[in-house]
Amino acid sequence: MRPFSTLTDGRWLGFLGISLLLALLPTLLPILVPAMEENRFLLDRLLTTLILANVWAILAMSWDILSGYTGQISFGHSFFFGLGAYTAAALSVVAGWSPVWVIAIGGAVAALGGLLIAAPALRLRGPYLALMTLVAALALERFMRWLKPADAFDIGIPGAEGAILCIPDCFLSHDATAKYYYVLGLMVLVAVALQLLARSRIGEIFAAIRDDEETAQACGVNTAKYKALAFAVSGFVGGLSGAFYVYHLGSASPASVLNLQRSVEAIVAAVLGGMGTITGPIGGAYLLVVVQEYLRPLGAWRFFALFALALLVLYLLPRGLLPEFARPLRRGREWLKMRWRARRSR
Amino acid sequence: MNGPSSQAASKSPILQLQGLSKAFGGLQAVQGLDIDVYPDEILGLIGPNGAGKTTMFNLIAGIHHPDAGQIVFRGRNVTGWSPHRMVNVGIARTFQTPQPFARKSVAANVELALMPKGIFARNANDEGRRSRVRACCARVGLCATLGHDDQSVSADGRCGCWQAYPTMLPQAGLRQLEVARALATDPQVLLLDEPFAGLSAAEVERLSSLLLELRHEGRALVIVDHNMQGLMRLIDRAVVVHFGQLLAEGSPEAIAADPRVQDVYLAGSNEPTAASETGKPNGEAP
Repeated sequence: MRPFSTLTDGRWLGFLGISLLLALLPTLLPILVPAMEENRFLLDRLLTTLILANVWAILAMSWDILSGYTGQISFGHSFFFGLGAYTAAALSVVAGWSPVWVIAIGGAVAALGGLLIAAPALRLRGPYLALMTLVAALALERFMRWLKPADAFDIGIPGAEGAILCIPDCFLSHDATAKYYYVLGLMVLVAVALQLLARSRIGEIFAAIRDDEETAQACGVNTAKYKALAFAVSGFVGGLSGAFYVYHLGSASPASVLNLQRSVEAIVAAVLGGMGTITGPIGGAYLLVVVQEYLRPLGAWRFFALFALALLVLYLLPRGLLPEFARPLRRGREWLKMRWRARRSR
Repeated sequence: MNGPSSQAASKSPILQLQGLSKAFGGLQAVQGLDIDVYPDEILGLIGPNGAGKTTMFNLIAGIHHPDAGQIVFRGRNVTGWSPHRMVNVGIARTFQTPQPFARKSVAANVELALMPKGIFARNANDEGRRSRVRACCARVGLCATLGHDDQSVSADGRCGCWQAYPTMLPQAGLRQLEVARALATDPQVLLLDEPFAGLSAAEVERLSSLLLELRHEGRALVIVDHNMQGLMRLIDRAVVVHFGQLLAEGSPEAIAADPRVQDVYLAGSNEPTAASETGKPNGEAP
């Protein structure tokens, strides 16, 4: 109920500690691993992998606040990702604004998209809602292929089906380290903001809607209004991730930003890390991307290995990795506190 | 118990159902129902299973929209209002099967009903809210059910209900939690759907005392329950519904003596029967 007081609890300290460690990574790794000092490519490859991990982490958190925290299951989060991405790609070419504004506007447009989806979604529940979000993502993908923005607005690759190539306007930097810091900062900002929201009165209401919407209404909560808010917040965050992805990639195309695999990966990352935990999906996304990248020698088999791992985690640890790992840590902390109190009382 | 009935009749009704009808496909669940509910009275809604009692509750609570007729609350037409608006205007309900938020503490379940509901509303006065949560929990007997002292409160104003979860509560505790949550919204009309189900005689007695207290505060209570003996002793007036239509209305004694009611519900006896206890209409297979 008092969100800022939670900043001092153990989970936050752990999260901030890991964020600090990730921030120091580009400096520490060349010192700790001499091979990276000698071969810059190794470090760049790792940083590029971590950039993607952060992008998926933001998308997975966006899914988590809507589906894990508010219980409105979405199978079409690529809708928000794609909206943010296309907005960023188009604006960077047409208006040439600063990436900060363009990424924020990408988020805002996706938030409006969230409200657009929320209107019909408020009448639906469970599998029908999930299906509707899936259809919305498919419809946007088909629409962009049909629109051919390159031909329609004279931006991007002429004739390319739905793609916008925006290099150099939307290419952030050739320096992987700079891009890494941008996206790490964005990810930490989103994680802190969403965690504060989740711990606030609004978060309490989101969780109540997830647990029992009828009871929430019986408490006098306008659940339609709060569900629409959850769609807008989730859309905004998903749009931010899509917009940043365009600045990483230098283009937006249906295959790269509206692919349904994006939606599936966001769900897998959130479920792996721990649904409804906000910070858990970050770990899930890191695991997903790092394993995917470093299992490249396995070719297409790596996806099989990855999803098999996801199934195994779901079977053995259905609550996800974070809650399972957090439990022994919490017990350890409680035990240490008890010992400390006992010693002081002596 | 039946004293306020005559007083209530002289007052204007707080809640009026006027020609209320609702059909689900080919099934006419409620048909042309006219019922008035008065302040400081306990109205019993009686009828066999499938009579339309819960549908009527859902219509008043805003979960279903009526096909015809209107609902008037304190002179204001509230027909078709959404459930949260009904709660905020002063009509609260409990559920037939308790529906707590399982992942929230007992106190947090009650606290949600006390929170400011606007997205941009200020979340001020935590202390005041905590004391209201404590008062609601203590009043319905939740603290006692959990084995806590009402008066033992931590430095930040929390009682034992902040540490307990609904899964730790017995059936009586879950019923108390339903009532506490509804009370937290400070209702003028309280709809109680089978509040005595699964309670022991002593627990029924305790809950009955609380409901009488609420009536004395000027609240109107509408109760559906299959515990006929408990209900008939508690209510000021009864309304009997059969196949979605009003069959009879009057004092509990008059209802018990009404041959039409005996025919459809009390199996021709003045005493509640086993069939009426389980809510089965006469002759219906268990």
